Amino acid sequence: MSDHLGELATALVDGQLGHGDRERALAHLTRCPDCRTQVDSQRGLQNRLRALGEPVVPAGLTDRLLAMPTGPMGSTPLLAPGEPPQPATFRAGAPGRASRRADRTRPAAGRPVGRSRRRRAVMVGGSSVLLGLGLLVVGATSPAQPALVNPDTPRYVVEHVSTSTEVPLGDPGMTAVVSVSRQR
Amino acid sequence: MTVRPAARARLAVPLRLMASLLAMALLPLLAAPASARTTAGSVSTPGQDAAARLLQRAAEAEAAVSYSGTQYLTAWSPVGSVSSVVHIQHDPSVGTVATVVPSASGAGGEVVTGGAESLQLGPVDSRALSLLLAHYELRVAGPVSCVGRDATEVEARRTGAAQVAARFWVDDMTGLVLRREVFSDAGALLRASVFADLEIDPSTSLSAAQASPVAGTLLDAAARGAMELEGYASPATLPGGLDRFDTRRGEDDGRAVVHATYSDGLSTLSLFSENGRLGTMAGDWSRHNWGDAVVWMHSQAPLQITWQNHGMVYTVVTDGSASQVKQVVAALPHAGPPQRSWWSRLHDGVKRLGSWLNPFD
Repeated sequence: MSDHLGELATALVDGQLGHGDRERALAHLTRCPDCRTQVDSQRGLQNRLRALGEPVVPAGLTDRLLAMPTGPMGSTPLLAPGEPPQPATFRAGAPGRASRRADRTRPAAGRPVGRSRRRRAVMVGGSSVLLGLGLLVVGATSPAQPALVNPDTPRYVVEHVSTSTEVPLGDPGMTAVVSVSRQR
Repeated sequence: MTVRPAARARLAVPLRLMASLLAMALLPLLAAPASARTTAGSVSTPGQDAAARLLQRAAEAEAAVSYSGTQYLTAWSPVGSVSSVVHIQHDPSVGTVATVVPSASGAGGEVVTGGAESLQLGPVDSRALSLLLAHYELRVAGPVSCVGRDATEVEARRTGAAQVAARFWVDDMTGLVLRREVFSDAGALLRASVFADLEIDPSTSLSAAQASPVAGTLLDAAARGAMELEGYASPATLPGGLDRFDTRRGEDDGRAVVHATYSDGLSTLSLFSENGRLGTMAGDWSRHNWGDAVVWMHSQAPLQITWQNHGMVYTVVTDGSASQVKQVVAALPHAGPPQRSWWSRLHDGVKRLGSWLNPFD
């Protein structure tokens, strides 16, 4: 261990040190006031963060996500709820095939077009599926596991010894030997 | 039908014989004194009552008699044995100072435990003795001499077992236990202690400042129930006749740790619960498979076992036997890491995405 704990202070506060490293870190803290100050401040910061609670999903998030550009699926953004369709543009052309092509690709202004509506529905549905899958993946990698713990058994032995004396017919000498032997 | 006189005489003889035999069979039952029933429902004998009274007196003596003396003692466990000489000063109103004499096996040290006030205890609790009566058969083995004092030996055997579970040598004058031996289920000696010298009401007394309070805050039933709802273990009983004595709450690196104390009248077991998952259990820890449970055992006495289940870490410290701890581990939760559902993963993903989009995060 160098002159100071450095990054080990964070690992100590997070309970991620192995038993041997933890013992050495605690021994260092007994003689280094600078490291004690550092550990105390990190522990206080951790406690304040814990007190903040879980983040709240902002309202309207889903709507804003659906309003985001869809990228390769189209150059126009998805419609937000309540947003009117963009005015359609028409190209002059021969009737018949061109008209049918225009019908398929250019929705007329003011008139609902079934195919474009279906296309939008497919895009919305596909985006939702992709979004859900993405959230699942992100959630799967999200670290929601409990913190690492290394039981402080030397202290537990001392506490066990102390409370053993409250049981009638306990042996104070035996409990003292056990406590001292664990502290060696 | 009329019976003639000669036949009547012949008939009376077998009847008298039968009556005599019946009376002889019933006489011991009729003469037996009234017996008290223990909490377990078994009927105790006068010998067991006398033994129980002696042990009750021994428990009361620890709370009433000041003494100082030197003990020789040895303890055995799966991880090794410990032998020491200990100087003890005991004042019931202050506590106990036990000084372990340095030896070839260790540097020694001093342990101070609080008296009744610092332990936040009430009067002597008879629950331990009730447990002894419920799970062990007691008997007075006879008068003995110990540490140059007149004493009475009391034996405790597990109900229905031939093996002796414990022996106590109780001082006739003060009721203090001068010598004790505790055995495992298999009859192996677990620990033994004896006073080499003893002084009653010594001239030197302990100062109140020497005794340090026990760590943690005692939990009442409501507080204990609240902790149990969060997953901290503190059941009323554990296998092997272990009854809960009290539950305390402490802290370790900002985490809550619940400490429940148990006893079967002879051995004591401490159960520690804390939120989290086990880190690297290397060095002094060795892994063992106990049935479907994976546990880690510490290499030093006393017996220390730790395991985890669904975000909780449990640690047992005990002076009892390994077989007793195995029953405890089997009775408490001992599963692997928590399994996350697809919905929890989706929820976590939404939260994380929200934190990315939140300009103030």
